[in-house]
Amino acid sequence: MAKVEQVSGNRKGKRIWIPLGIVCGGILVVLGGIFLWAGWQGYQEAPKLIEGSVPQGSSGVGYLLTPDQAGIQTELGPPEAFTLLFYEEETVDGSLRDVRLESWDYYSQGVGYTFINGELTGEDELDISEIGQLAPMPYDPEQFEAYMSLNEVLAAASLETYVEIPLEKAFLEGGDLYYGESLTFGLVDGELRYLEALALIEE
Amino acid sequence: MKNKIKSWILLLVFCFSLVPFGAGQAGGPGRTFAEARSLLYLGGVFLEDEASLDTAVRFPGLMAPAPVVRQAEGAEEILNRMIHATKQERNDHDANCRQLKIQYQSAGDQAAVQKLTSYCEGERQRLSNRISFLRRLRGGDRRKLLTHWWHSVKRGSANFWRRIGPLGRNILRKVGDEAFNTVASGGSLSGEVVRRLAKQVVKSQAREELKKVVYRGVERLLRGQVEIARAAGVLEDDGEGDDPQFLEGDVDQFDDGVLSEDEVQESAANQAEEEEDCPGDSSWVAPYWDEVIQPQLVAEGRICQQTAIAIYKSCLQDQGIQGVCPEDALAHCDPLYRAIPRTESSGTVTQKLTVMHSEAQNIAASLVYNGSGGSGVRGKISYILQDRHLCTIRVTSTLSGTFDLDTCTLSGTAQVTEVYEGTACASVCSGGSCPVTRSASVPWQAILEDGEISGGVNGNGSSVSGFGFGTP
Repeated sequence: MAKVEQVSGNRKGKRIWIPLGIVCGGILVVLGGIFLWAGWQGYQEAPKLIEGSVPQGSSGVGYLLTPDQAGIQTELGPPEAFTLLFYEEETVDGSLRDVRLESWDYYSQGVGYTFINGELTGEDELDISEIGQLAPMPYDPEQFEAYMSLNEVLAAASLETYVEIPLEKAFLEGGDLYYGESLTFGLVDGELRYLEALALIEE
Repeated sequence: MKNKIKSWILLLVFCFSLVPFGAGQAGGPGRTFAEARSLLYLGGVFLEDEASLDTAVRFPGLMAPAPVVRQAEGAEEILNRMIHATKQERNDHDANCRQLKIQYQSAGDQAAVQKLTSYCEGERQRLSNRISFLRRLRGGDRRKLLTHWWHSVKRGSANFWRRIGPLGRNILRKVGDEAFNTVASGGSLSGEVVRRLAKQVVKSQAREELKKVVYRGVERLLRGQVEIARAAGVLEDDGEGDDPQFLEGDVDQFDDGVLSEDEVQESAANQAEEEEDCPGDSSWVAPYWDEVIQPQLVAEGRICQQTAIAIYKSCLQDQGIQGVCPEDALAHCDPLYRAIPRTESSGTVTQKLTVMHSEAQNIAASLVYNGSGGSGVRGKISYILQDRHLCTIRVTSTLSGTFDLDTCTLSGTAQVTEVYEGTACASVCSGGSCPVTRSASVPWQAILEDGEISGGVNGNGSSVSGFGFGTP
């Protein structure tokens, strides 16, 4: 009789351990899941080096130079460095108008130009004495247009290797910064808002 | 049963009401100039070397034995650079606002001044808020407990994946270095090819260029806003002509009353007479700058106000390019010259400082120098570092040196003493030998830019570690 009670006690013990094990296992699985999910989120938000990227999608239709810009390009050639900013401005009738603010730098000639929507708005002397041998600039301003997607920029610039830096929300919500060869650009909510083609000196 | 169905439907309707349909459809442009401008500043800052950042990473090594903070390296570096970029953005914003204010006031356009003032104050506040928030994040992430916990889990997990997963290994530790390498080589060049950024070679020129581009953007933005406000009848023009009292008051806040514009104008007039005709371009600006204006700026103690000087120079160049004669150009840009603050009084200046290290506590730092330059610079910097491994380092340093007014640099020698306390200072106190005191005489250097000091003590090659300091 005593033996039967012992066997029954063992069974009861097993009965308790099984659900307890399931609960503990479940908790571990959930915690592990949270940990892995957090890791994925952390990865998404971390700065990364992307290599061997194959840009999918078209490079966009490009941008047509205005007469002001074409005139300067005919005279001095394509810019040795350039910066593009894309944003919207409000008009008197309440509608929004796109603005393309760009600066073209010619280090060799010691001059820089600023254009707003293709219209020449400023000419600045670049007081540079000896800059050395510049590497060929692989990009032209016409390759890039407002609000391109990441894939379109990558395709336009033929970038396979680049650095991606997601930005802290407190700095710019939805902002990402990218660096590729001779190039840096920024997207907000997946739209190209800033691009800078950088001149490099070869030694 | 009917009641049950009703309850469920009501719950469903309630849940739908929580979905933020149409959120973010606020009035005004969604893709703002400010966003693009912030990206422009940050884009450049990631390509600057760490030595040029006013952050704790200027002289690495002080808290070097901390391998656990691998993930924090990248995150903290990003925060440092964001703060640096926002400070640059705010400085340029202030300078642009000053220039535009003078321009509008000179034209007697009080309506535009009114709009400008509100825009400038709002933007400044926004940028200052951003800096203080980013600083809070850098200084220990004082977010709400749950958010803080979630970020810790994310960090820990990302570290885990970095160790075991191929994807995780792409996460960068030194973000600036990788960004620079990618820009310079695209990841495809061999180590034999050395490339440098032209922007870095012509640093001051590049900064000036950046300011001008942003200035033109802001000018256009404000012109548009003034037009809209006028069309809506929000702004009232208050007649033609200047408001001299207002203009004087605005300019004089940067001026101590001893003005030299008469001398500058006189020299320009003489030069114009000698040339018989107007040059019709900006070729006169560079030599005139070197011969007359630069020495004048040094003599008047205005030379360390680089931003305001750049704006003044840019005004002269713009006038020159437009074919304006030197005499008229100088007269036109004269308000900008007068707006260049006199950084230095001829007497003794005491500047309070802070230490650029996120873990520095109990900071007591100041620098004393003579505003007219020369030797006799002295300073004291002391602080305590307490890392997460309970290693306490008490740092005290006594600075002495000279102030070169031509280059706006302060430099000299610092006597640095570090006392390591606590057995957790593993690299120094092995075998329980703490406290350990290290002392050395090392060089220091700082630059005075726009009235703010930033510099560092260089501990390279000595037994003590370096650190950065600057105006709080």
